[in-house]
Amino acid sequence: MNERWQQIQDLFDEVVELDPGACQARLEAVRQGDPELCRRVQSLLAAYARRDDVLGLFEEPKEPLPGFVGRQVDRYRILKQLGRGGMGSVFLVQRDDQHFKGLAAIKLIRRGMDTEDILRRFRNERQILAALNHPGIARLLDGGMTEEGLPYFVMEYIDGAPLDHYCDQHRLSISERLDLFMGVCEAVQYAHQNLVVHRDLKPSNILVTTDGQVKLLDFGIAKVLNPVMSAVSMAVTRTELRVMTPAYASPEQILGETITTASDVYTLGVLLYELLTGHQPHRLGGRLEPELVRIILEAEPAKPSMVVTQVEEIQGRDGATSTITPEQVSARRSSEIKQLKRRLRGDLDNIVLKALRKEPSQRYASAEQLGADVQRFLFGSPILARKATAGYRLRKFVLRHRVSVAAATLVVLSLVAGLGAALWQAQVAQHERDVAQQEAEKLAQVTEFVVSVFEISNASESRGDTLTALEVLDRGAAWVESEMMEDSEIKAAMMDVLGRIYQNLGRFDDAHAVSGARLGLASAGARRHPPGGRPEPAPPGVAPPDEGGL
Amino acid sequence: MQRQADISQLLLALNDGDAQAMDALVPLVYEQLRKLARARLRSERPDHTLNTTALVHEAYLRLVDVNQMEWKGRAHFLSMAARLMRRVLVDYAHKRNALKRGGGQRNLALDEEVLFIPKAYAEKVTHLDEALKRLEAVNPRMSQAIEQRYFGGLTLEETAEVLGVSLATTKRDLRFAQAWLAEELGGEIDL
Repeated sequence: MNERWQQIQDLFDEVVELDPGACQARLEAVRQGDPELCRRVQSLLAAYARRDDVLGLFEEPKEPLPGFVGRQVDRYRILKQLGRGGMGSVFLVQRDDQHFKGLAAIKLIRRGMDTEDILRRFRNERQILAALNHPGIARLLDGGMTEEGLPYFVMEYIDGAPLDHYCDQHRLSISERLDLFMGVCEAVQYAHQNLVVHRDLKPSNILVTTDGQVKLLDFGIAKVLNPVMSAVSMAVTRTELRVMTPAYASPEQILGETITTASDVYTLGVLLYELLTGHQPHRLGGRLEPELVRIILEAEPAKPSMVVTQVEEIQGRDGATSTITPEQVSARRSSEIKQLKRRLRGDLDNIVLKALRKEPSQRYASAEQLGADVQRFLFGSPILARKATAGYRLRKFVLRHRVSVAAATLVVLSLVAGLGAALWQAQVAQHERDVAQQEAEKLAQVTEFVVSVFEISNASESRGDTLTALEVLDRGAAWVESEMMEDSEIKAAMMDVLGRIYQNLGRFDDAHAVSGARLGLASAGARRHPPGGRPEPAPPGVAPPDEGGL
Repeated sequence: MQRQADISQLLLALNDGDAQAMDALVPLVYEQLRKLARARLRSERPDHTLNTTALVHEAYLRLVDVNQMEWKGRAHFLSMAARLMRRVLVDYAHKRNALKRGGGQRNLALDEEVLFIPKAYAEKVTHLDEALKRLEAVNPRMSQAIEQRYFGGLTLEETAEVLGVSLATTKRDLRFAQAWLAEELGGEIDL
């Protein structure tokens, strides 16, 4: 029994990889000597070809639509096909009557859907959808049923390119992409305020016109087409529509939970991730359903600043593979890879990841909030996404209160060093590797303390402040000297930073007597490289807005 | 907290081959499942179908904090999950199959969420389970590979790790198993 099985398997393994001609030939040869073996393997091959149907994997509807071009559908004359999606095809139409003259787009829903049901839901939704009046949203004009009983929707015709193509073609920079993205958030927010959730946002649904205006398509259509949004199931029958695109589906959509505005926020997060990095947050291509479910529910996406440095091979729908490289990604963003990574690191990372949280309540509550944080990022203000750490507020504070922060920086550094070498490494290398949860918490506590100390010192750009800063600085320096006995890497680094800060402060009054040791430190400032081997960071106080570390 | 420790123990026992541990774990997962299902039901329209696989996954995730476990490796842990999930899903499917009434009515005292499992789905699960058992009799490794992938959602790499074979072997195993299962099931289910 076992041998026979092995024979069958070996032959199957061999022929399944051959092209039809070679396979036939091989099987024919086998049939001469062992007809039963041949029959078994043939049966298995046939079954294998049908495995998607039987075992319920994701599938693209492949049926061709009858020739629609040139036909008349109600008042609309079909001019040409514009595109094709999971739920049907889109055509350019002309309407020419006393009510309306001009072009529109008609979306014909594919065969196999419950037309009556769809139309009923459409009638319910129609008023709401038709009332959506916003420059960023393609208007829904009409809906109905063709002679053959296929439902259709008529929408404003938008001549534009899908968002991702547009951005890549024009090699838009991060800021320019963010700008467009804010337009998307605005449109989505408008719809949300009118109680319409999109449910199926993706780049192909977001067009950009030649004058750079973002236009969202298919708002609310997903709901009309299929109120049952849990399309990921092993035994989904053929007639149940998979409206939802897995790559953009939020965890709650996968689970069949209530769809809220937060679900659209998630999808906006996926979109933003792609716009910024050229990669998708999760690699879903070619995976089985249960795997998809797990990944969407469990897997944390890589930080955008990290993923841009990766090379990824993706499989297109037609089976062809293409490669995404850092060079390609940065070129399409008019940048260099190092520059791109820097830009994404920190705030943008956090904005994107916040939108992509598994728990809806942990995301931005609205598209508006997301857009607002993006705007804050562009202005250099503190963003919401980094809510917890006081250290973060401190960092932003640096931009506006240069002198005083120098001291605070030092104190933080010294306290950090006091918590152990590992913590120091973590602080410095925080963008090179993951900070352990515990350590991050400790760090947060430390910075809280520092900020409170600092606040007590009354930060403002006055002479009194500089005084205080020096005092704090002195205290910190003394601490480093006394507490850090051995001549360690950390101590050297600390002294380096100290020296630099003293240099920055620049003024060594007699009134604030600086001891010889301090002066010594100041001159020793420029000697060593900081730990982690990073290029010398700008002195605190002049850090660029997107600098991640302190 | 206590609960976490219990579950950890049970899972370890399960890994060591303790069949009884499975019996003890299933009700725990069930409990979690029912809580989740009930919460869903409250907010759903009557014609909504629960996504059973995803629910089981979520129930499982809530029960155990994977990161806290001292385990041989994440993949092994997940393979236990796959076994567990298969068992739970099959149990649910049996219950569903046993129901004489169709969906839409919610007047059963216990396990009412079972009603919301689509009938076709329940049948499919039981058929798959039976076919897998038959496969296991002739080729346990293949059966396990399918179980991991289809019930546990393990990746190809994780599956290979758990089975202790190369990725290439795993792919071949799965390919053949899929063909074999498709052959077994093809005649029975008409989608």
